[in-house]
Amino acid sequence: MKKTLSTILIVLTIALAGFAGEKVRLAGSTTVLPIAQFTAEEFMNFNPDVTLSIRGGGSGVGIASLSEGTCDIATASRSMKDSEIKNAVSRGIHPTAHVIAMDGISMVIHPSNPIRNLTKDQIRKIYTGKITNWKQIGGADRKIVVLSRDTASGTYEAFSKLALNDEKVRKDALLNASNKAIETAVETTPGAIGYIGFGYITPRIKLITVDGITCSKTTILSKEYPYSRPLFMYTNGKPKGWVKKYIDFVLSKEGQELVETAGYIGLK
Amino acid sequence: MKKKAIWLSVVLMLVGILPSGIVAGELDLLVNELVEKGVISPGRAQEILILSEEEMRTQLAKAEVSTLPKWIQTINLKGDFRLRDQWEQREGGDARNRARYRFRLGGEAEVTTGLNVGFGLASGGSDPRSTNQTFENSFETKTIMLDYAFAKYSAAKWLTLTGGKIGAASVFWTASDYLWDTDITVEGLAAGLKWKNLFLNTGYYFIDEIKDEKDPSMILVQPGILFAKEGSYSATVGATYYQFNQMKDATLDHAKWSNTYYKDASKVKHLSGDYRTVSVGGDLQVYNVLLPAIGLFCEYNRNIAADSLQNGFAVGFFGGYDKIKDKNQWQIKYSYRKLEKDSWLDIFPDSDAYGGMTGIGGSEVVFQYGLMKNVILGIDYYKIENLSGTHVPEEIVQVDFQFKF
Repeated sequence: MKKTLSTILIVLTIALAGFAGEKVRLAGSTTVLPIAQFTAEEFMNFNPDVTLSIRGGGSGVGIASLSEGTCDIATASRSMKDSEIKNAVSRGIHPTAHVIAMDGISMVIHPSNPIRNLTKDQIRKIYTGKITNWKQIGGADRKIVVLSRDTASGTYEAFSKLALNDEKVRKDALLNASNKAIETAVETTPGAIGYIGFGYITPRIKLITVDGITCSKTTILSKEYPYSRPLFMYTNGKPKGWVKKYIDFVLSKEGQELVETAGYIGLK
Repeated sequence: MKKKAIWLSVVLMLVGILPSGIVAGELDLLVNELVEKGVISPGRAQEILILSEEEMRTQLAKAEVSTLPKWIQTINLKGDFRLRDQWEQREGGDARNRARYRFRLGGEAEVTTGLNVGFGLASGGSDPRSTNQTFENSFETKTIMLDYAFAKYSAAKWLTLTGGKIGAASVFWTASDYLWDTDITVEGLAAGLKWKNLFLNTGYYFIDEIKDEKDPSMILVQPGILFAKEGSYSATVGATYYQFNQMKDATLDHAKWSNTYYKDASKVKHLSGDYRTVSVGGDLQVYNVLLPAIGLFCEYNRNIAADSLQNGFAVGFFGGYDKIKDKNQWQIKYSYRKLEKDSWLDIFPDSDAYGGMTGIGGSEVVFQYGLMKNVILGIDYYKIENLSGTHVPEEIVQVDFQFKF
């Protein structure tokens, strides 16, 4: 009996030692970053034995990192491309998607701009350089300053797909590295138009409707809003250990409340 | 509750059993029905639909990857095919018209992380400055040559090492093609260093191998700086030092003998002088000002080992699109070049400019237009003349249809 007890104690000690100080590495989307930060902080409060390290860089960076085995969870504001899936699979990584929230890519302009609505066609023409002045679409005689995310961003990729039919953003568009940078630039530039994640809308910038539809929780979840998109966490195969516990936490009622706190749309 | 369970069972059954094409459509309908009946939330519905699509894409990719041999999975292929009609005439001589083609196929494979091997096959003969093949000789079958083959190692973010037979443009920068024909692939070892906006290209290249004698070779050192803002502008300035070794008395293959030379007792030609050339150049592209892109470039070179006829330069500009990739995109480009007799070795310059000789000067106008995606119509006009002796201008008109893949 004593022998059995000592064996159990040894096994438990080894197991606990294995868990102690364990690290889960997240990398990727700057859009998903607030969700990752909120949920990770809360998760670590309840689980002091694990450290979650979070890195941005963009969805493409996170996905590449997962494929190279240098992170455990890739956060992404777009689906993986077929080429990325193939690349991962050929390296022995089997990407598994987890939808953690929904988002709407919100079209925002300077508060002084009288425009309230743009059609999808008008937005496409603005971003591809066919409309260059607000007066062409019923606004003031002012040059449109087009703000876009940089090409490493998943929001850029999602916007290109949803709004531009994969056409390229005009070359003179001012590229910004984060949603926050777009928000700041729109706030300070009277002729600006930009797109940001739903969680980054503030009273300092003006949200406009697209085809008459407001970007809201209801229209995003029903996919009525044309620029709705899911936000992802990708793991290598079915998650295990602390990675599974963390993903389960993000998808739990509590985790989804934190998603809403971060300004995005929870799935529950 | 029982009703909810039945609906969910139906969904799961469809996801698990039916072929993917049917699942996609049926699943949409069923999930929407479930939302309408209050069985699941709209958020859960989106989650089910998105995850089923993601799972399907992953499974398809896995199936595709697993059915392809490993070497195909790690190799990227690219190529192009060009049909050309070329008319040319030197003043006082007969006009010549040739129908020609060019076919190129290249690939690059990852050996391991950071280490790649590339290769290229091309039509044409052994002329290092042309991959064109004229339609001739009673429908004879044509040759395919090894255009390039190299190994490239990215030792660090700032350091790339390349060895083999390499496209010149991939290992050093030039503002124009007046010194280096774009078809030339150099042979040797290259190191490229980058730090912020600065770059330094270096290389040792073998020009020939001669038994029992020192071999002609080239050492290149090229510092430069690149400024670019995506969508606004791009500017490069570089200086290059070319140290050509064992050139005096050399008899080089593919020489045009427009450099100063002498003949030995056997009437074999040899270069009379040495070649150590300094070149400085720059280019500037501005985007979305009047046109999608406007560019300027200039380059100057001087053979500091020669006493006279040692300078050369090229200047030019273009307007339109930076690169022609799609339908209705266009570009027009003009350049003027001048290469004095001993300013540069005559085995390297653009072969369409007076046969690739030195001691020449003149203009080139190129117009390109995208007929459809990856299909380009090109019209290229050269008017070049020799700088010494009786002036004999040469005109060339090339009409190209290029298909890229």
